[in-house]
Amino acid sequence: MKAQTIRSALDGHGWLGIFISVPLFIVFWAGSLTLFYPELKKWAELPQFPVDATQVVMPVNQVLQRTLARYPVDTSETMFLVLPDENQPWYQFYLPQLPDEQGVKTDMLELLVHPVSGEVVTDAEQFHFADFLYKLHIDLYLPAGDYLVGFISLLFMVIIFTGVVVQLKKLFSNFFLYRSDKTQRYRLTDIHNVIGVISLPYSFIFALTGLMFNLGLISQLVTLTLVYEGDRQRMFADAGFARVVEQPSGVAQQMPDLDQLIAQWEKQQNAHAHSLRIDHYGDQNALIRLIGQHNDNFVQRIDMIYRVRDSEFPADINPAERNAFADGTRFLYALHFGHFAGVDLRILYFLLGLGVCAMIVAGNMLWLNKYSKNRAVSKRVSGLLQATTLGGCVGIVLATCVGFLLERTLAPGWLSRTPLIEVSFAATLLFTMLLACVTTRAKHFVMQGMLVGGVLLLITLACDLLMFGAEIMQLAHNGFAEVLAVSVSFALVAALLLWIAIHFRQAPEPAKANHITPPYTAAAPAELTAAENANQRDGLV
Amino acid sequence: MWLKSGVALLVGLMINASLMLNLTLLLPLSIDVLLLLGFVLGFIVWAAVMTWFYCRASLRQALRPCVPVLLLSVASNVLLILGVSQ
Repeated sequence: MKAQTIRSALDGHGWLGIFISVPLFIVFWAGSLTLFYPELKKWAELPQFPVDATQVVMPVNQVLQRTLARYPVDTSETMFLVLPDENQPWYQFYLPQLPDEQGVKTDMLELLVHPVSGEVVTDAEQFHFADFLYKLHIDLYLPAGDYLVGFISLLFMVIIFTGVVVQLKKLFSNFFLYRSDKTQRYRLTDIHNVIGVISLPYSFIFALTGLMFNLGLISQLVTLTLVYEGDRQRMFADAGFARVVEQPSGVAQQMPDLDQLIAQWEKQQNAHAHSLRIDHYGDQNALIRLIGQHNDNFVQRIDMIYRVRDSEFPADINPAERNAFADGTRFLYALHFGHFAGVDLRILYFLLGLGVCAMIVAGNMLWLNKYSKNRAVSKRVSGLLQATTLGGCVGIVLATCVGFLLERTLAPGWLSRTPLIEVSFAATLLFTMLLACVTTRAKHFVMQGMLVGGVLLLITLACDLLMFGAEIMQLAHNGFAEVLAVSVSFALVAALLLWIAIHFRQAPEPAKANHITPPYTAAAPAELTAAENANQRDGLV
Repeated sequence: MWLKSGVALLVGLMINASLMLNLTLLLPLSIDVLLLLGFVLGFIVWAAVMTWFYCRASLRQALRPCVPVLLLSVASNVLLILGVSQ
């Protein structure tokens, strides 16, 4: 590889990295936490409304009838029912409501229903923080954020490729290289390179799948226009996502027993149903879509539609052949979220995700050190990028700690609970970024941020113990050890944050104000080989 | 760098779309497999073209091989689409 090529690739790598670093950090941070979505959901909900996993679950038919009798549900539309399983112990019902007296359509009812008593416990949106983190991962909680995250994923893939170009010769030889005895710049370079190489397959899959989920339509735009002549439904049908639509007839029809239907279907298909989508409940044209997972295939989803008037799964809307596109994209989705294996794999994913966060910070520090001395880059731009990096990375950690504390302490019945958590999250992030703009002591700032984060998590842990200690232990005995595991994880993460705070407290502050790390000072000439000198000159160290 | 990035993004998208359209029209595979192939490969091609731009010192150097590839691919698209519609 020519030196000029490597130099250009390195310039592009750093330039792109600095622009997407903060949103990419947020996406990876939120994504790492989202890997434990079921556990975080259970941690939030179960201590408030304990469930015993050893008790018999009430049949879905009975629970649905009771709920329909109690709420003004518009059965001519589509309702969505999530069944209880090992990932989430509740029935979750998403039911369309009848228009109000003025004829205005109201929001969907989102209900969390107790699996044993069949009673509606609360609004499913009340415990929203895990969903908030998921959405933050998917679209940064911004309008058109999914496209933004898609473009960030594209640039992340380019960063991976340019990183490989820069590091290609040393990919294996420097695999375990960490020069702890050298200057900070060398150490940061080694951290960045080692994590980058170790997490390469993982990062690549994340960049690719992130791109596919968020920019999929853009990629298929030419095919849609030229091959399908703009007919989206035909393309979706070929892709295995055909939409089956029936209009309500107005003629009443006895609905089948949902429990029997599910049991038969599970036996016939050797699958496990996890949700139902019902169109026009009680109408002659009612459709029941059963969605589940095959028991003997690797992450293969199964999705079939039962037509009530025919009392069968008709072949015209349930193709016998499996669709490569639908199966392939669902497989990649499972790969992205680690659905295909147990909690051990998700812990590995989590550690790699945090590793990528560390790599982003190390990369930014390197770039900022290099370009803070470059006269072509104005001091104001350099300072702003520095403050954004500092505030964004510390801020997202703090905001998450605030979110967990509020999720645990706010009353479950309070309707403003979810908005308050979201606003507090955003306010903490923005406030930290503003503080980062005025700070002149970067290391002190990081130290304080980590200290506050650790203390917030310890307070959350204390609330767990004081408010729900007995319930959490009882849940662990009744088959829900995850709640206790999340509390223990908070203790571990708090210890990590406090360790980072102590580490930064002991590290000397750079002599020059407003610098995250000291400007590069070359080691004694005798220490550097000729090759290192050349690399240093070219910015390749 | 801004100009290079903008051109890289557009040229990458055009090459990706054009090459994947050629694959869809040429390969004797079922449509669901072709769509999946285009979906996965397309983004890799897009990112690879952008990487090529960033590895070159100047925009002109980067465009030199990309423009002929794009023109050839688009010409092939036109011929294939005309052939299909006949």
